Amino acid sequence: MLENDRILKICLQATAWGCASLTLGVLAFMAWLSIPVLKSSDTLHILTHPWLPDQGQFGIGPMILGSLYISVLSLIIAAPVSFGSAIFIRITHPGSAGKIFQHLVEAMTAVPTVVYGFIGIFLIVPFIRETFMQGSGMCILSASIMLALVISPTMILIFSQSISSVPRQYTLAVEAMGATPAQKFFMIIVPCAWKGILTGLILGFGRAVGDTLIALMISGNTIAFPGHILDSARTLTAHIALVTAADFDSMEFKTLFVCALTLYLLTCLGVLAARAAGKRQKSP
Amino acid sequence: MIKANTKIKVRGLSFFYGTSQVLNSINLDIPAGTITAVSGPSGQGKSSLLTAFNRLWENIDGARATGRIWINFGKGLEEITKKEYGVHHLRRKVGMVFQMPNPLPMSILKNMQFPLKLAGISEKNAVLEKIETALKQAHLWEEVKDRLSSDARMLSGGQLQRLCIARSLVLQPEVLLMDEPTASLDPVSVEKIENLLLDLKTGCTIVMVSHYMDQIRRVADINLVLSDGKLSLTTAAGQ
Amino acid sequence: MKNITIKNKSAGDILLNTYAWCCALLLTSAIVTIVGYLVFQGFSTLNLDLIFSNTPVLEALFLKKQVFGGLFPAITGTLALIFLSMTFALPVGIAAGIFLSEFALPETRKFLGLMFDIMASLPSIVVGLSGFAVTIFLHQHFFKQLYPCLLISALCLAFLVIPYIIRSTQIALESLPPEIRLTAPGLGATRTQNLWYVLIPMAAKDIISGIILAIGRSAEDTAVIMLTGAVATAGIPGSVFSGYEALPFFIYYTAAEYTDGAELMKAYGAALILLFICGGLYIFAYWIKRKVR
Repeated sequence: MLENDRILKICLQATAWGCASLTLGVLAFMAWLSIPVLKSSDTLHILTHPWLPDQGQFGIGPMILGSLYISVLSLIIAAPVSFGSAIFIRITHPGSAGKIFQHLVEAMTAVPTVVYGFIGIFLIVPFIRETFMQGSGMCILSASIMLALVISPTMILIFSQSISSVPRQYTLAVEAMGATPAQKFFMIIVPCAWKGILTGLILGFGRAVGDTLIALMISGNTIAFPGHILDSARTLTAHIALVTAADFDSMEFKTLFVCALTLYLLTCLGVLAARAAGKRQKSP
Repeated sequence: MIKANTKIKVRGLSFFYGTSQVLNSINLDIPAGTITAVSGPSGQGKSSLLTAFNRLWENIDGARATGRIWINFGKGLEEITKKEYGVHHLRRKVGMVFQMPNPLPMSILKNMQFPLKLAGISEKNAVLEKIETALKQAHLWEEVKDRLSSDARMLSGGQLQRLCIARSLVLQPEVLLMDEPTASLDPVSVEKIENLLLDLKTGCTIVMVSHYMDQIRRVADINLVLSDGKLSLTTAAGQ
Repeated sequence: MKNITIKNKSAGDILLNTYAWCCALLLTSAIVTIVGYLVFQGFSTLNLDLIFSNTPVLEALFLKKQVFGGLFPAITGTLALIFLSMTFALPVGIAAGIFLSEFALPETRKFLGLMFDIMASLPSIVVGLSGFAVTIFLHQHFFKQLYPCLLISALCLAFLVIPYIIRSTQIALESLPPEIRLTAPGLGATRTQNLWYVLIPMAAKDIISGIILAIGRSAEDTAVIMLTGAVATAGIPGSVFSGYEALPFFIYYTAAEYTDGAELMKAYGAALILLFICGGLYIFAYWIKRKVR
């Protein structure tokens, strides 16, 4: 390779590896800063106990539950709607209606999350409050509804792409055999596309867990263990945003690094799971 | 050697791909129990003609057909181009075999079961019986009967095409459409398939696109030559 | 001649159709309600007053006078953030993307691809917290004058958007037809020349549209900036080492702490402006992608 080319390659290589090291660096940094907390009481304790800093308790249990409840509920709401929307775009209305709707979905990805959160406060929260006559309306349910709207466009686009990547030779063969659109969908498209659908679900869940603003603005942020979807809750992400005002060297603050570490590890899990789902080469 | 009863009647069939017209007001009558070959220069609408008989053009982007087609399924000529006519019902009575074998990504057995499942036939014995019959008609039974659960994509080219033929026969269609069925195959497989076509034709009217004049001479009763979107009819050599 | 009228739609088809319609309708009405409500509430606030308050426009633009109570500082803060973060993110992201697409071995590509997937999926609050922790660490041990500021936020935002730029650069280059890659080398060009004169110009359209989307991402992010330097009142940032205001942060803390209707209205206005900025960037990216197919 020519000298110029070698220099170029080395520079580019250094940049790429630099970025990768930065990513790992964040993990290492969070882990290192968590050590004091993890050493002072055992890990299980931190992960399951309540957050009562005045009483010296720095458990992040309620926040883990809060993140889980809100993310799972938002996935339960978003998944069927996203799936149906993808079916609308690719199967039942592949003409102009589907194309217009697809453009709408793609445009939805441009809406800032903080705007969703902001409008959610003034539209969803009062609605939930009035409908259920209970609490302030700032609860798991409200946050999940808004979060479902945030994660839906990505999921729809992934589902839609999985459906359209089923080879035309299969769908044409099946059409020639007299399959109705519904038969074609259930008997050949879903069996071929389920890996992509699973990947979409995993990525949607990851997105939901990682979101800060929606939960921060809409879920109420109480520190009690959430028990019911109309209860207020606090997520790991919102917790980090709220507690940063505390003194940096305090134990309170240091548990934030445990939160960050938990979130980082959950992210890695999600990415690996999505990759594994994408790889499995099973035929129906 | 042309039988008296018409199986397929076509009047005024025109076919368009986007803005270009590939068939220009075609009229023809295809007798029952015959093999009709469609030949002519490439890109002249031969495959399009086939898709008109099972209305598959409706599922192909940019394709459009006008005109009227009738097919006799034992109760007189029915106009299949009428809008209310059940297109899925039609495709179960008119089988189609494509130029490149297209097995579904599943086992041989599941491939064969597929059309039956679509038609709602699930009774185990009936299913297995129909599958065996079809595989025997396609001269494939002996070769696959011991490995019906293996993946269909493992078969050789010739076997795959016979599988696709068998799959199209499992619902006992009265019309079989074939788009250059031996184009991608070796001479031994070609001979096998030509023989099975001759065995099939009594119960099934076959319309087949072919490029090979000697194949047409060996197998076809009628040869339709398509050129410039128009048809000229010739009987097979030797008649 | 008997007429066979067999229905072309089975029960399964009708169910599938209805389900798909309901979902599409639900989603469409949800987004239309939200955006419609925002426009309805915020449109009336859109005037120069919202941005510049009592300060005369020209004096504010030339930085002669401070603006109090208007969105001008927040808008300049956001613009400064975009500019600064892109200065860091663009060269790094494009370089890494080129490396992955043109020079990396398959195993390297797989590993780095995994790293960048993780980088892209990291919650922004984690990035913000890391940035904050690094700042405090440096403050305590090396630079007593260093506080969360524009520079730190920009660096963290760069971290956030680099994986998107890497991905769009990589995909843009990998989608080039294989024949194109061989033309220049066939005429004696080095790899560098091939990249500079042929490949990148051909992939430019898609790379640029990826960059514009990354810009949108850095404009709207709140979680990172709330931990690394965004504050409620700071005026126009004096230097990259000072605190600053930003639109998304303004919206957030107004929602949390507004005391009267007028403040709330300003937040609606800010949300609308932010939506216009992000929407505009999206349309621009879309337009570039469609140009000259």
